[in-house]
Amino acid sequence: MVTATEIAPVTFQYSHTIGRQEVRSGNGFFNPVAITRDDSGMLYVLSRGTETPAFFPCKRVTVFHPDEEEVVAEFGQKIPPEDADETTPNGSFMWPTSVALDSKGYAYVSDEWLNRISIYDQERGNWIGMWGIPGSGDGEIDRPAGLVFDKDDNLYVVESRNHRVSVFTKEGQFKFSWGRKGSGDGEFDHPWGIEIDQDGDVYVADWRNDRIQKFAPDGAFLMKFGASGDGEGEFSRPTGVAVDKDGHIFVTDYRNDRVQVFRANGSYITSMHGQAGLSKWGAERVYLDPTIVRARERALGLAEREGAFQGPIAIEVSDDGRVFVLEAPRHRVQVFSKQTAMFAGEL
Amino acid sequence: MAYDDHDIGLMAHLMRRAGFGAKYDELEARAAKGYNATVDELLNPEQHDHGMDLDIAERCFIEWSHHTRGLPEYVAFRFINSRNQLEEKICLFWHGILCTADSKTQSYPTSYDEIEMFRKYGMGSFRELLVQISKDPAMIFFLDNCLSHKGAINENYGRELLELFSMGVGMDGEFNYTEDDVKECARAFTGWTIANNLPGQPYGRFAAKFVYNPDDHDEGMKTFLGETGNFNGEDVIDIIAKQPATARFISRHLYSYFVADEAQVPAWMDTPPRDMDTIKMLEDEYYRSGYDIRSMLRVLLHSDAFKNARFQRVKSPIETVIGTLRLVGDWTEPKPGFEFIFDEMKHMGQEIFNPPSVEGWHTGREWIDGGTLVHRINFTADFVGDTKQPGVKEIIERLADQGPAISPEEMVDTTCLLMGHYELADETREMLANSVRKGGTVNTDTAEFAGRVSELLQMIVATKEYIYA
Repeated sequence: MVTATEIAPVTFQYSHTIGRQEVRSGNGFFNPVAITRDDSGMLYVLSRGTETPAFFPCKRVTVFHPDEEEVVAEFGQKIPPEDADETTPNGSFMWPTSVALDSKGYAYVSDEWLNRISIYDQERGNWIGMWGIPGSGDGEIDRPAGLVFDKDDNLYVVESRNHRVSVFTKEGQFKFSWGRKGSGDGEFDHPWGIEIDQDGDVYVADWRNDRIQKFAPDGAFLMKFGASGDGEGEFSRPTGVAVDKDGHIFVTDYRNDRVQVFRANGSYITSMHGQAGLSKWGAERVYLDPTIVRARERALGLAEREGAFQGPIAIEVSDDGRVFVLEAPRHRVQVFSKQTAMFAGEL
Repeated sequence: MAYDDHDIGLMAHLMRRAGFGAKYDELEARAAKGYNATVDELLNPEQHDHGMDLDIAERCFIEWSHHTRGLPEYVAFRFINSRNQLEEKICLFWHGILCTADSKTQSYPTSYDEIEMFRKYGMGSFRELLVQISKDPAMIFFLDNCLSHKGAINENYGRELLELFSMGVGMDGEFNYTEDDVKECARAFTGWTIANNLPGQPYGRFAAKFVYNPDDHDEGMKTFLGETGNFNGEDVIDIIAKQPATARFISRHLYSYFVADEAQVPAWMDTPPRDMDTIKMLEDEYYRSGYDIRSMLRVLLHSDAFKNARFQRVKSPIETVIGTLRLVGDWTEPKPGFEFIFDEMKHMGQEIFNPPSVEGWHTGREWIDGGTLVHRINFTADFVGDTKQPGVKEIIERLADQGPAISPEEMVDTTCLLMGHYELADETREMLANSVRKGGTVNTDTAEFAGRVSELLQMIVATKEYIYA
């Protein structure tokens, strides 16, 4: 006789934290906004950086192994704001927003200011091309935000100021698009993150409508969930969305400082609030400076203040159940492992 | 004196003082609603939307996130774009009086929490504002109250609370308090401390938080300004708030910021107010309203003294930069290059989050020296000389609406009106008109007209008159 009751469909075990504030280059990030993962398990984190001239090269993609925590490559160039126009040098970033990898491992980076998609080779760093025509017509883009490839190497581009999703070949040839500004089914208000699940269905973080929408690969509306607020299943500017092999949907609820997890039908399961500890790269910096060590020792409530999610902005999940949560204001990735369902009673 | 409730010139004056200035179309719209209605709107920001898409701004500038928005650029963006201009102007007012500096606190998030506090409490009870600034983590760290302990006081905060934040050293030639009062005040604030800032490494700055530690509070009897008791910080603030010196001190600050430049604060003990009748009126309202800043502002903005005081104040650098951007209609939405704007204010002598000392910025003519004046004129001239700026285009179009040809004098006079009813001395007006005249007949339908307007605008912002608000 089965008397067990499922008390938690899914739980998460904190693993470790990766990153530190690094305004130039090396072991850390600076205002990171996007994260993705290649077939070998390498993580790619895109730092938006700032305009501050002394912080160079703070706009960059950092490629690293999540367990060995070793940077293997960096690419991308920061340019001064006065040069951020149609003459901007190849490979440069102004407002880089998302990074996606095609089947060959080429990295595609969207830039919301320059309205271009820049391409870097799988050797991790060499700029090999770009495309993007600013505008609102078919095949034109305005404020490209979230990027994701489908299994056929079509690139789905979220256009935050055209309030739509446009689909291109990876060479930039326009295929189709859907969406317009609004709050109805299939309409968007400044959308941001995007994800494609194992079936090819598309999920979009409809940022200013505080909801997630799901579409068939051709853009046909399938479902939506979420509303403005801070209760269970509500959002305050959701930025990123990821779907794992079990169909669980993870949403970075940016202004609510949490990650919410949903079933495939959009029903709420649980929330994650973060528990970061001192990262390896963070420790490298902290223990260089005794004043930092002392300040941390006397800081009241250090674990609680430092550990909680603050501005989770993007999320990546792996087939082995790992969850990588990127926090922009804290310049770090918190890593978790998804656990099987918990039961109480007897099976 | 009777005033027209719909006078655009008066509205321009109000918006320069109770805001950072406005384009002519906004002045027209506000004047149509009326002076009284506009004052009410400015005084009650909680009843109106601020009119900014701050979520989109924070998305463009990720560093303006809800955890790290304490950046001077974010503050400047709000100054430029908030519909609730007086709410923002009051933040700057208190930022220059209840001073902390990020050069010491080294935590923009903590500094920004202070600005938010000013936004929330800045037009409420002055007594409550003093309580809030005494709990403000930036202040507790800046003036070392976190180092003031039972049995081992640090007098820094107690001294400045009396000298620079509430009463002033003296009034009418008499001292307002004694050294013993300073010590007793400091004793009352023992235990008011903070959970300190976390270092910038490894995860960036975290805001400090106020903590009251009763174990470190001096529970002994204290005698402060003639009253004796087991005072805690709030008890001391109650005593301070009711002092005539406090009413005088706040009234003079309001007068200097909104009406006309006063002497610098250190001189107030021996230098009588410039307009004693208006100060008296404000002092009376302070008591009548239960120390309510909003009530004092209402009385002030409706007073003849205020309405008659056009161009009696030297614009601060922040007023100059923000006012110029509002005039030309730039930075209404986020775009790259915003750090430059913040740097401009700094080069003119006023850096948001970094007053030069706890005494705040010296104002009036002290804003101007050879270097800052040149910087001020160059910055302003660059922006008003850009005919692509929306506000400059509007001025050109409105001038063109005057007819196919206008006289040099008409061009000068109308341009000054469109910039916010600036008033030029006769000599300046004639000089500018002569300069226009040298360029030949002013035909508004020619290709070079826009350039001639921009040249005139650049000359106007270089005049002595334009330095004043």
